[in-house]
Amino acid sequence: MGEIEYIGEHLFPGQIGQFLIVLAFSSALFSAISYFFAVKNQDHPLEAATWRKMGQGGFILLAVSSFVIIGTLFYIMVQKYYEYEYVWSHVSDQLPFRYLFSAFWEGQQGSFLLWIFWHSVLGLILMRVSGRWEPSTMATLALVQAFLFSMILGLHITPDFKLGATPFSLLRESEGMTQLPIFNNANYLSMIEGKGLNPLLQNYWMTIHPPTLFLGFASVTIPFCYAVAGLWEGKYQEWLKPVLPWALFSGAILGTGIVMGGAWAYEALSFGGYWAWDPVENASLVPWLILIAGIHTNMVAKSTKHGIKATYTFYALSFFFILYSTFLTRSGILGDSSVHAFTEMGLEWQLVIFMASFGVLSLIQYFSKGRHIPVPEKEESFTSREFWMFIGSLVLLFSSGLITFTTSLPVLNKLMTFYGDLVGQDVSDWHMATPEDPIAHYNRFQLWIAVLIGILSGFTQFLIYKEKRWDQHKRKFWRNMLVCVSISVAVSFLTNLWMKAEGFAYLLLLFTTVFAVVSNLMYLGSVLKMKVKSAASVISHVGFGLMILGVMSSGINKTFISNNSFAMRGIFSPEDERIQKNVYLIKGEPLPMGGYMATYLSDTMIDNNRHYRIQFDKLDEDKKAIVETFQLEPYITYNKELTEMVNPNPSTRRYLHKDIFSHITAAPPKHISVEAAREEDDSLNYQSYSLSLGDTLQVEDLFFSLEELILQPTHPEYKPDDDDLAYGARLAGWDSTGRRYHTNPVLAIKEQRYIFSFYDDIPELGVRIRLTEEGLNKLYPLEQTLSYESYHQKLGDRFTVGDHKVTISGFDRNPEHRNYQPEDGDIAVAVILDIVSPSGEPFQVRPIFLIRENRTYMIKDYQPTLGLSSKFASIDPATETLELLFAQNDMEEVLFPVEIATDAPRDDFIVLEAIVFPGINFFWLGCVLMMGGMLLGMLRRMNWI
Amino acid sequence: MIGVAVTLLVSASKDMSSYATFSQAMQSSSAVKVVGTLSKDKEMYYNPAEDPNYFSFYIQDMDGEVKKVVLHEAKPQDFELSEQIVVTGKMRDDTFMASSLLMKCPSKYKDEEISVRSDISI
Repeated sequence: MGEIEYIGEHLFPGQIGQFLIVLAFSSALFSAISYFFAVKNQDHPLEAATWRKMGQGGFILLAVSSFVIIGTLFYIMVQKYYEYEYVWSHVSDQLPFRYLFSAFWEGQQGSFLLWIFWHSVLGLILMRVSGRWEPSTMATLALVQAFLFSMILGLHITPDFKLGATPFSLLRESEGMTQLPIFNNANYLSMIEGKGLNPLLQNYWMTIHPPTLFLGFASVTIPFCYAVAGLWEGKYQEWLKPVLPWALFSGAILGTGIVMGGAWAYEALSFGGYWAWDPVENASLVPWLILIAGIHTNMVAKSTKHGIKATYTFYALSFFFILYSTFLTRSGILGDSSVHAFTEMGLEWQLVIFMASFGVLSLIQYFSKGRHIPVPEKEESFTSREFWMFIGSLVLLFSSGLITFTTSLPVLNKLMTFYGDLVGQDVSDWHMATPEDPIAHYNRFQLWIAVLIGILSGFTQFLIYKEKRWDQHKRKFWRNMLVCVSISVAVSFLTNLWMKAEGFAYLLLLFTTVFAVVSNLMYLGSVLKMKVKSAASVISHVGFGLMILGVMSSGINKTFISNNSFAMRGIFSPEDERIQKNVYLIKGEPLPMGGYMATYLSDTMIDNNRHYRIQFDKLDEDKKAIVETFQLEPYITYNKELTEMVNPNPSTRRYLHKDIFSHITAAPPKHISVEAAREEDDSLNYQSYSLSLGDTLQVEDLFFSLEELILQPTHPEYKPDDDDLAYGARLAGWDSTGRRYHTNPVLAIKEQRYIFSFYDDIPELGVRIRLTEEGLNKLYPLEQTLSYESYHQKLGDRFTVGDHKVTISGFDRNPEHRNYQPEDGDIAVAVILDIVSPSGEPFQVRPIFLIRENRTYMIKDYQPTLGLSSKFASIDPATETLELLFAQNDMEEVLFPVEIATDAPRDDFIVLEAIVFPGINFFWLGCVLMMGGMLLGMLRRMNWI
Repeated sequence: MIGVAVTLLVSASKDMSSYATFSQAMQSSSAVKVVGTLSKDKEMYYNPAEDPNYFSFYIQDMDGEVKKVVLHEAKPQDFELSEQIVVTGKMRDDTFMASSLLMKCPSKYKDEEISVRSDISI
């Protein structure tokens, strides 16, 4: 088979992009090597300066390349060039422009590029501000960039081994696609459309969360670069000062990125919480915890020279764990234990090498240089601030160790299997499954971590560095502690009147949390004299306390209000699996639940979402008067074809002191998918009946009457088009009680071939009714069943046809008609007939007389309400007499077919879950303060404020 | 310090469960995790009008044994598509009473098909 010349492909941007990736990868290596020699040749200033210039050149080239690569990829996405696999996978015709950023970083390559982008930006800044540290820090950063570029290189080293996966690969050349027959068509591009952005990710969180998180990831690299630089150059203390603002920046941004992920989960997804200890969440939390530990030892080391090794280790570890988390999320190893892992791309080994390289390099450096790190001769005193800060850092390290252990179980299992294969033994017995209840598992251990951090962050503030005169200070210290503890006990007691925590562990946690807040505020007042500029650590630690308080109050007192409280109260304990979490709501029927009357009001389609409006009326104590009314609008999102539901989305009512969170847990089949609706409809036992207007029909013990035929019908599911042929019927149904219910089924023929039947229900009677195509023939009678009568009249004449009064009002020489498509050379004239029915209603019809290619045609016009067909047969030019044909069918006599099923399940319900989270705003406020404190600390240390 | 760390790790690993079969679950008095696949030929029952918190189905465990499972929650989305189901709970008589359920589903967005524009017929 010869090469196919494909039509309409745009290969040029891809070639540019691919070239730039290779260029950037080489520049990164070049820059790293140049900077390396700039450090090596420090003793020869001239040579070093040349190497440094080359290093700068290399980095600038790679940074500019990375911006152009991103621009190019963005360009082909905007242009919707589906010949590129990346574009095809993440963009679709209908994707709104505002989601293009999200689509950009939805995939592996795009998110690598995002990471590279931030490294480039931070690198350019670091180059400017780091002064003498430039060569030794930039060498590491350039090397990291080289590794990242290798992930998107897409170069075949051997036929079977490819280095990285490029974002510019062509769809027709990608794996599993090459054999598809569509690519034998040179014009395949005109036939395909992109898959588009996963509807789950089509929200603004996807626009802001990944860039923040990746800026956080990228920023963790800088403290690592400084740590490496300090040891490399043997300047073991000097690096501790310039690194600190970078580390604080990183802590604030990475922390914000993580919390945004939580906010996304809480606001837009139906997890029912902000943190699920999901492996991917953990994977970004662990580097953050270690980084925070590093920031603490960094401050200790800067002030006391204690803990330099620890600082190096923490910064190296936090960077290592960033790589490890990248490995976990991108290798596919988490597979079944995480909800948001990327799909596999065959990058596992490359990621392992990435991790291993930096792991080994750090270890080598540590062991070759570590012994030179100066250690103060005197041990930290038990009463010094540095001692307890150091303890705090270790607690954070433990915390991350525990999280990493559980998160890594899939990796450990894989390693065991690998070992088993190596020694030829089946080791599957050793495999461990993740804990039964991961949230409880993590919380159980992290609770003690939080207790320790609470205590430490409280009293350590009152200690001082390098304490030498403890004897003089201790009175004051203990007095402060006594005050703090007393206030904390009182505040905890008061808080618990509201929180109602029980059990030793929770009460202790509550106390230590309050203690952290109280003692930091006291420190601000008594020692810092309310100088907010210096209060960075106070703000962060108060934030920590409030965050834990929010976790406790929203976690312990999380209550499902979606249960029918009358039936359930006191029967089951909160842990019981039979606890009722969901309620069944019928449209328009109020149901009492958890102190509210809940009423499902309506459902409405907006874009590809179906919104359910639910009204909550809060009742007073006596359950008589309504004290508050609000509406929630949880919705479900459909795929872009609107054939299938993708996921439910919650809706939350916010108060200062609590949130009421709700989401849909089940909906009728017709709201779930086209297939489920069809399956349900197919299972019904429809029977055919005929009835004419005004007739009453009895089916079993039910009665029906046909009240009206509707020619421009409306139905919630029906979207009318101009050339549709459609009708609807209004039927009444009632049972022996005599209460009448109305229903409006619709039938439509689209494009003259596709028949759509839109059924309608009477849920109260369990009835579903649909119309048939045959009814359309009754409404628009077939020609052969009609007998026409001929009338000869002139313009302006009035005459009667049956009971109708007809006037010939004029002609239309450019007629429009459903069944008439004008062609060149046509002579077409419509006659305008005004008709008044016996009841006095006016109508107008316009039958057409057509001459086409020397033949004459009549295009009839039919007035369904009158049942009157009219034709314009001929015109005599001499006498100006028209020949008109009329035929009448009697609508009152026509029997209309309908199909009725009396075993229809209700489809006007939803199943709702509603949860109250008390005090959740403490959590958000705490997080904001924690990150804000770090930013303040950064600005302060840069002398900006 | 190291001692504390080891103790914590050891006690943490006690939380790790391994998968059981129905016959092991029968003998156990505490909650176990059973892994299996959905028996698609058997009845799946969820009737929210009757009880929105009752969902029952049958799964086949790793030994091939099929048992009824009852979950007191709403029926999870895309349940029919699950490739593997992990239920946590206890046996009560001949029924497994599940307190939680995890399922592994094929991703809806991985299928390697090319969607052809709807306005084109080939």
